[in-house]
Amino acid sequence: MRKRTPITVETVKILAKSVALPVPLAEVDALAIEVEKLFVEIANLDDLDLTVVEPAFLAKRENP
Amino acid sequence: MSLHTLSAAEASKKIRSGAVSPVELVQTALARIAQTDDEINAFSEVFEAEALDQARQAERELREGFDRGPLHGIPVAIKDIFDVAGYITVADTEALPRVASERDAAVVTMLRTGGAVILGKTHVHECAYGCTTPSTRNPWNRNFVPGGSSGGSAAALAAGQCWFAVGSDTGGSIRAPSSHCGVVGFKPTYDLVSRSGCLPLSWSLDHVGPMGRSVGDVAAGLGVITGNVSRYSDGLELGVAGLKIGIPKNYYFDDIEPNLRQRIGEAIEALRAAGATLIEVEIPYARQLLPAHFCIMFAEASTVHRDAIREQPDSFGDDVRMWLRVGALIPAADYLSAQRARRVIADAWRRKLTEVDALVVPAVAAPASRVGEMSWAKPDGAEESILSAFSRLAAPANLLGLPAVSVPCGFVDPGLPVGLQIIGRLNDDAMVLRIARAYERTQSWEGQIADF
Repeated sequence: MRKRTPITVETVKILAKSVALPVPLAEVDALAIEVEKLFVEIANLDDLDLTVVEPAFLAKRENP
Repeated sequence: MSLHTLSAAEASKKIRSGAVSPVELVQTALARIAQTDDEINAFSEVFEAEALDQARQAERELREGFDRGPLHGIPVAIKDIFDVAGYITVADTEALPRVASERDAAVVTMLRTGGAVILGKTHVHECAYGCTTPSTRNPWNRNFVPGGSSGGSAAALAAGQCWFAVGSDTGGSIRAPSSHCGVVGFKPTYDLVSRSGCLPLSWSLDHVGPMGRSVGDVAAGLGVITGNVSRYSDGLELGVAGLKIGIPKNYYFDDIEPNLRQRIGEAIEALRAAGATLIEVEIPYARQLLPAHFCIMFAEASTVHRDAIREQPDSFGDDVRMWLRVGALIPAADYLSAQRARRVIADAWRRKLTEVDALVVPAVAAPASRVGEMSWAKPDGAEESILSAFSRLAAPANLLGLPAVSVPCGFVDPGLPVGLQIIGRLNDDAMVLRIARAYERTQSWEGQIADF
């Protein structure tokens, strides 16, 4: 698996600001923990070779 | 026998024989709701006057020989994320505008066309984003949750408050509460039932499906809401002799609550005794299933509620507010990678499912949790969130669009039902229901209702 840099509270503050997502200071720490947990999960997809694959979801009743 | 204990099929038969009228059924439902809903709070709104009007109309039509099918005159419950004309879709949130819907959701239209009586709306986990439905209690043990997000619909069926219900399922939201409440819940192939007029959570994972107290009722109801009345009922009694049932070697039996595992083992043995051949299968891309599902669900849900999470975050409960914020921070490249991974995984599963007619697995990793619990201890002692325990075995069928059902397979302490999940090939919904019915026939849990 390729390594991703762990998400920090500071990173989350910047990310949230960049997408105009207001997050009260008191909730940033908890958010950073949850974002890091999800990003660790998502990193499992980094192993797959997806270079020639179209994304699913575009057509109605297609096989997703 | 009290009318509330009948199956929809039995009630329908009695209507046609003249032994009971749709008005009597609605009155029975209203009385049962009055008797039980203080304890379980399954309904968010009951349409008493309209339901009686619809029942009188059904009575007239049937008397005149106009038969709309198996749900004609049957009172049904609607998960409160589907629009019903003239009523507000609340979805157990303060984040949505309180404006009455102008038209029915497509599934409600299909139910009305089929003559069903719309009895009312049922509580959900907020915005269908969660798996406990905090407003509602489990009819089998009121200290426990009914599961979610279609928790109100499952609880209403288990309490005998209605004869049929509709729910939605993005990561187990029909199957998990059905398992926890001891009813049958079916998530059809992706897009088999229209999502029009349904509050989206994650549009590429959302599925609309039927819930009932028997496989027969669910199959008949699926026919009604897809406009193909007999398609899913016709082959229901064909049994499993000669069918190949896949039992996964990996993923689906990892970290399962031991008593639940025992019930599933007994159910698999019952299918073998009924003539099915059991075949061990290796689940492809097991490590990527949940990452892809969660990435897509979190990102899409945050897009659906993008304005609300920015402008009025405090109108969401703590859990949903957190998940919506997490999803808002997922990079677009990761979301698209998850959608690409989905295609790779789906291709591998399609090849794998040519080896068997269906997979048989648990619906959830653990039985219903106590009200307020956020995690449970896995058999190895590690903590797992309730969200993960109730969705990790259901989510793959959402990711891949495959039909899947939860059918009751017994109880674990302290008196909590658990469900067997059957997952089929894409568009092979009828096979999933056929296997579920074959299993149901070997057991005594069909039509079970909680005591009050």
